[in-house]
Amino acid sequence: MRKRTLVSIAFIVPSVIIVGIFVYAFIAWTLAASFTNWNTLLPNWSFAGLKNYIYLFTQDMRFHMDLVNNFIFLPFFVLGTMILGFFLATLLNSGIKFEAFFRTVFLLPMAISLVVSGVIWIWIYDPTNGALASLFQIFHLPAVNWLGSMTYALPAIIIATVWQYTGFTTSIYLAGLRGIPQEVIEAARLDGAHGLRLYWNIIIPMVQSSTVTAFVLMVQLSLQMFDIVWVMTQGGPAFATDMPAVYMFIAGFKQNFVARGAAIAIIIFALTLVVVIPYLFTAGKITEEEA
Amino acid sequence: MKSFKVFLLVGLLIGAMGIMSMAATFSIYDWWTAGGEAQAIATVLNMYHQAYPDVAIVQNPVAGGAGVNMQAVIKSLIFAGVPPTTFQVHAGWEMYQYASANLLQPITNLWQSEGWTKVFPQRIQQMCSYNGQFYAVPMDVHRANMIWYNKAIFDKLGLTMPTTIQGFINMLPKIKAAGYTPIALGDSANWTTAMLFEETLLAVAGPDKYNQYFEGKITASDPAVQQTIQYFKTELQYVNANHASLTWDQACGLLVSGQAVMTIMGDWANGYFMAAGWKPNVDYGGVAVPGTEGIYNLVVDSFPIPVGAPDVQTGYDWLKLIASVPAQAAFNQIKGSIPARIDVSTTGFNPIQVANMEALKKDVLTASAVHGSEAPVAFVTDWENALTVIQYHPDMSLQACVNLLNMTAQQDNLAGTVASANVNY
Repeated sequence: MRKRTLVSIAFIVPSVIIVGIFVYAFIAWTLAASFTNWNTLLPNWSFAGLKNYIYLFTQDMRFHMDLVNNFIFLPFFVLGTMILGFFLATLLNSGIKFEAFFRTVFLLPMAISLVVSGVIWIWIYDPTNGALASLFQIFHLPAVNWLGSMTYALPAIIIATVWQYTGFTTSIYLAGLRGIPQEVIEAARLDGAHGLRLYWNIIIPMVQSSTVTAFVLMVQLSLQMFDIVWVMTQGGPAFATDMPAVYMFIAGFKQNFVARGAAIAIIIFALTLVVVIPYLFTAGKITEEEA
Repeated sequence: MKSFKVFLLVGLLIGAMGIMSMAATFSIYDWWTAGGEAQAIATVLNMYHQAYPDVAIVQNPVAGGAGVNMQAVIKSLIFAGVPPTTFQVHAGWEMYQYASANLLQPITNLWQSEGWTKVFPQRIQQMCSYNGQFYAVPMDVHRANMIWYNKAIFDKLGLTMPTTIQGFINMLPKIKAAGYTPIALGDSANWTTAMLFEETLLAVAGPDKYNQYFEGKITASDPAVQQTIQYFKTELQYVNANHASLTWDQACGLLVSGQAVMTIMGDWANGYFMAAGWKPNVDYGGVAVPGTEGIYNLVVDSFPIPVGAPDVQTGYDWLKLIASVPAQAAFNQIKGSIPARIDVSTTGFNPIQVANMEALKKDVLTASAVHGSEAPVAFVTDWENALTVIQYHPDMSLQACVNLLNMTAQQDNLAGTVASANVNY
């Protein structure tokens, strides 16, 4: 017994050290940097209190627009990926022919790098030669400059990211659906539950843990959205698609506002915690209940 | 027998590693990854290899973002204590940010012993130096204040390029009435919009006021800047509708396809038109933006040596090579820019480049803010974004535009930053 404990500790220690340094130490470092005057190229660790945070929240127009964009992006992205993911997972689980083929088709976007899919979507949205423009032409609809419009650029990015991540939520829900014992569903059918009722009363409650997992992961992804925005619009036109993570990169690496960039990172982190901490509690509870 | 083979193999490996570590390494970072420019840097690196065949060259091109992505890499490397031997940087403020933080090696001795102070124009020397010391060597000169036009359409409409910015503005409705897009713009990255403003400001305000604006000595409330804002808003009404999804070179493509008539773009557009099979001064013309004749708005690519650079001698050899007449000629003929040296023969350059080589010797020299030379980088980033906000809110009042630009300068402490730095304009 003692030997087994020692062995397990030996296995855990390296990962604890690595996570400790590369995750927690860096978070602590970023937190410390966000309270300094380091808004120059060279490190300046003099204490600035909440100056960077106050600037961001009271004076920084760009940051305000970023938060607004992010909170518009978030519900569409999260609900979009979750509803589509559940729908596709249900289809795949319904004993459809060539299921393995369709599963691969739906999961494939997830395997593509965000940078690559960003470039693909730029081509799709191109107002003169793009796929969407050709489609519009067939139906004699006017050409729309998707990524160059203050109105359509953010929805265009939401669609692209939902496309990319729906495979992810599909796989989460598929695992959840496969985990429901067949007897439960048969018993419900015998009791007269069919169609929507069966889903609403039996299946959806039984995949609750998948729902919570998908929700937390999608919220966290949308708060940290960077790659696809950077590739497709760099936050433009005129901040219409700008996100806190894009500003963090520009502030820290281009403008040398290192402390301000760190403060943005901490704000993103805090927003993520708001979602993750309740998850950690409920996740524990759900597993206990299911067990 | 088997163990003997293993010994031999290990021995060979150790030997090879020894030889490799003995040879000097020259590592260079640049963002020249597109067709012509990639070929231009490859040509000079090949000259370097011919001259120093024992040096191992490690080229690290970082694509994208007009150098933003590469700057992120360079800053990380410098702070990690593993800087490259040299890296590409725009002379002026983009270089000053490193020099002012003591991250670059002064190379004043090299400038003097090589006699470079006699062959490079004074303003370019200022852009390569900080606080009385030289830190970088210029490789090329681009001209930001250029306008390019489709000659066939110009002739068809009976147009000549005006000499004043007001004349240029007056011409726009006529071109539009004839069914063409007057100004081609590709601002999928917003620096092209900012260039439109910058070159208009240069035309309206003249070189002195232009400098004062970017030094923070005058604000956007100045009549010249207000007039520029109004011209800028007018110009934006005459650009192609799909501007936001095009890049600068796709916008140049609108001239080639005959959809648009003119575009305001740096002389890298010259390389684009030549590559498209157009003949300079036959199919297309390229002159100074109306109202900026006699002013040369510089964009200068240069190379410094960071503090702690490995095999530093290979870096000095590189600087000597790129400053030489043959390298400046070879590089710039391919890239479409012109040599920073004023004593390079015009043979082998196209007529528009030749005209610019003559202009560089006699024009008033200013530096482009958009390309990181004229003003602090932090300010320029926010200033470009402010111009985009103005662009996408055409009903913003003049006063609101002025306030936005002034707020940007104030928040980034433009005047204070420039005043506290030891730089000359």
